[in-house]
Amino acid sequence: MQHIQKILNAILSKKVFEYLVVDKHFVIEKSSMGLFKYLENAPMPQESVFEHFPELVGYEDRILEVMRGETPYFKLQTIKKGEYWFDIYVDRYEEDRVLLLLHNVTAFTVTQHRLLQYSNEQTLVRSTLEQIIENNQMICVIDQNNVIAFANESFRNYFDLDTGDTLSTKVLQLNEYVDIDDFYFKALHHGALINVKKQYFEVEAKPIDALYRLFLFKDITAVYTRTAALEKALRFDTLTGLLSRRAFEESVITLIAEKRSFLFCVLDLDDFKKINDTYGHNRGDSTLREFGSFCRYFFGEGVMMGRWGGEEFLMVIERSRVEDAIKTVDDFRKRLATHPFEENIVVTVSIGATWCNQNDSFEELFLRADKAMYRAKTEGKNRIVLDAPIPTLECS
Amino acid sequence: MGNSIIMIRKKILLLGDFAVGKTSLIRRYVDNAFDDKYLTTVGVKISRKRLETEGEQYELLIWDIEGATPFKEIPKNYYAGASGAIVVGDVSRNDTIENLQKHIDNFLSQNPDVPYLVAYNKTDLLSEAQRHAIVSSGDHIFTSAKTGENVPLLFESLLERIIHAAHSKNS
Repeated sequence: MQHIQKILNAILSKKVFEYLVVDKHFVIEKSSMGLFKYLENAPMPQESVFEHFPELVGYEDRILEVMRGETPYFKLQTIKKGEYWFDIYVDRYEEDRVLLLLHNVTAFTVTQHRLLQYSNEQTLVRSTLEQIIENNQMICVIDQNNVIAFANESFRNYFDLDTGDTLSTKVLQLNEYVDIDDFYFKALHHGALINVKKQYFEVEAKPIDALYRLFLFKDITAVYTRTAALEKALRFDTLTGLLSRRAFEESVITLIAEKRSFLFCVLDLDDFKKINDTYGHNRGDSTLREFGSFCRYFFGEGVMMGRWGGEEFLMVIERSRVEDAIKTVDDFRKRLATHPFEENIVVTVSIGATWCNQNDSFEELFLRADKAMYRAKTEGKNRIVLDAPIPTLECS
Repeated sequence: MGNSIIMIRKKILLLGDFAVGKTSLIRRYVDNAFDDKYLTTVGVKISRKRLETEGEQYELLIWDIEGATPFKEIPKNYYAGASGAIVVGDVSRNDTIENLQKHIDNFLSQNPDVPYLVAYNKTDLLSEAQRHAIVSSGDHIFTSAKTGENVPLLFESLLERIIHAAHSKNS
């Protein structure tokens, strides 16, 4: 009678119950007609209950306990079958039989589902934001007046900013040279690099609505330092400290593209083989090293010089008049000839020079200057020869 | 009478925090499908997958159980009678990986000596270096419901363990 009471109670409380009667072999004896509404294949008498309710696999012992009256009943909550959710009660029907009662809880569960979906989505969004905010990247948000509206822990620690009220009164200042508005537009469009307190940061910027600006700082110090060292190694000749062949050629190509006026020179140290033969290759190397130092000292930043190979060098002097450029080179040649190298070695240089015309290529410039340098050699060394038409400047 | 096929049913639970990809793993394994959209699971939904191994026919009854949240634990009676479990963590959310042990302990407290496997899911979000950086204890398989990586292997490895455990118990 207990089960009838349960069904009656359910109906009276306007809850919908469907039911099945199952024997001790887990075979269905009968079921309510309403199950057709919920299950794709409605259970038929003599079928195994597990065919239609695989949810009960694993609960065989507990079902038998209920059947024997050792356990009053048990319940499986919120089981989804098709489009519906049920609470399934397993209750004693009579000896060797149990009653499966299905309580349709779909309406309640759908509401619960919506709430859970919303709650879980919010948690996921918060978790994602926390990951973004508290990772190693520094994050800062400023308002239209460049006042800090938000800074994450990494940013606050790096810039020694207090948390709390004082933060919201501070104007963002990255370093004394940076104008924040200019920096923002650069970072917004192309990304920007900045050096702050000996660290290098790649910075991206994004607008937040129309009122705020977000900066993301990625520390690239390690990469930047390695890259800078590598670039330096590729850009400069390790022996003389002058530009490498590739870096020099690239720089000249840029000058040509910018249609700049300059004198292009090929320099070859005179009788360098004798230095190697007389004093050995180590002395030869140290002479080249000293020659590089002398060039850097003599010209400073005003003249571009590179090592082409061996004892051959290239030079570019930007002047508006050929004569001025020639005079600078000749001053250099004269000073070099009197410079005391180690072991009292005297170093002189033969120089071939050519003026850069419009539409010249690097190869054309090099060819003309190299030819002129050979003329300087054959005409007695330690001199400058300009390819025609300006007269050769003899050594004094 | 013809030869009737004996189908061995095994109840397998998928456990873990919410949104770690339990439903997606099942969907990939059972239907070979995937959807990026997150739809939370409420209660339990059972999927079936039949497969043959060692000359026996098995039907895996895969319990897709609502994920645990800080506010709601998994009802303990869902664990009853399970033959095995897959405990799932999301490699992009550390808290779900940290909670794996809690789910394993809960499962074993109800089902001592029942085999389980750990799935580090959503590996499509990881670089190779990040994958190596994950330090774990116990048996685990890296999976991606999105790409399908190791998904069949995950379920089939668990079934192998279940069969092995059953043989050990009977011998």
